[in-house]
Amino acid sequence: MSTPPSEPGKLFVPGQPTSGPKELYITDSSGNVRRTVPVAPADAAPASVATRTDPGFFKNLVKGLNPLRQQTRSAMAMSGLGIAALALDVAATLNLGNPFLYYDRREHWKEMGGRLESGRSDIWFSYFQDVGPNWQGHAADLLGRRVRFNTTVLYEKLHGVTGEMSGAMHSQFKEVLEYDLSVFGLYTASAPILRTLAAMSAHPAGRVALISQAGVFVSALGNLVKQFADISMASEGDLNKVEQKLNDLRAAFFEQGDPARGRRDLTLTPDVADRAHVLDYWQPASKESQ
Amino acid sequence: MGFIRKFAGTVGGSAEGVRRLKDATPRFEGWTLAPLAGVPVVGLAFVHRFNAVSDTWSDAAGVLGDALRRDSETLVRAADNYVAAEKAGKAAIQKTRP
Repeated sequence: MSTPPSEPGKLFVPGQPTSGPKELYITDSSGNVRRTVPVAPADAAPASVATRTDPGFFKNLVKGLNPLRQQTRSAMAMSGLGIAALALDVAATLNLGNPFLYYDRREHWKEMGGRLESGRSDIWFSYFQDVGPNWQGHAADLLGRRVRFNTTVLYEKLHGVTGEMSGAMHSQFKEVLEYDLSVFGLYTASAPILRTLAAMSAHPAGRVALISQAGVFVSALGNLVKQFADISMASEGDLNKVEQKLNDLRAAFFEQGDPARGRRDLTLTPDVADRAHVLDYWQPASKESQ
Repeated sequence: MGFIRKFAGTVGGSAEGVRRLKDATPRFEGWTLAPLAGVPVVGLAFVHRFNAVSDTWSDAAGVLGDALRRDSETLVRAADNYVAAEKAGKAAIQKTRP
């Protein structure tokens, strides 16, 4: 493999502060520029993950819920159940969550996982297409070991956490949505009855009916709150899985698995660029057959 | 050394991708913590643990991104040095020939 005297000197080195669009030169084995790829500077590049707009489901739900809450609250106040019932009402509604938030996070982590994987594949295939067949020697061996056992493993650890996080966010999404809908369903079903009974509560029979109906409503509400607490405890399980993956991640990236002890040195040894040995370390694969 | 440069470019591109992911790691903060807007009240107990996962992940992605960037720079330097050394070698051979 020969090297022409006029090596393309300009090379886009990512991560260095640049301004304006840069060009990445892709050369063939003899150093001639085959094509140029315009590379947008990092800061002007589009955000790495697409933003999703909240469809407003949750806002509308809360908006629809508020008048129903008013009606049930005044009926419960009239029934004499009073403070306990109102506290449950507050607890139930404060436990409403925005399912879109979790949906967004689920998609976000999933996309991050996808991007990671494509970054890893780029390195992997580029190594086996560009470096593997064309170079041998100490440096090429080092590079090969690094791609196989180091970079790939690090990518996989990061990828594992994104997968678990996406799964955890999905189960939160499902739980929160189900809870929202059951709270909304309960209020929608109960509010008209309670309103009617509240209107009749001047009559003693109407009052008894109101009290018993309000009791039914409150116990259903209490069940819901308890249900949500149970579900939330179950999501502890998701978190547990994520945290186990996180342990693997910490062990791979930080000294003794502890971020406080500092990062591991994960870079390729600078020796591969050592001026004195560079011709020994890098040997064109074709040299053997010549 | 064209292939090495190309590989260095790929590594650098992946480094850039990882670093961008690092900056985009989602956390639960701001409006998402307001009642009746984002996380349910029961969920608040878990928020800091999810955030801890996000933060550690983000740090680790930063480590990988930096490592890949430095690798890419090392490879570019190796390519430059190789070319320089080869040129020097050829010049030396030419000198010894009559």
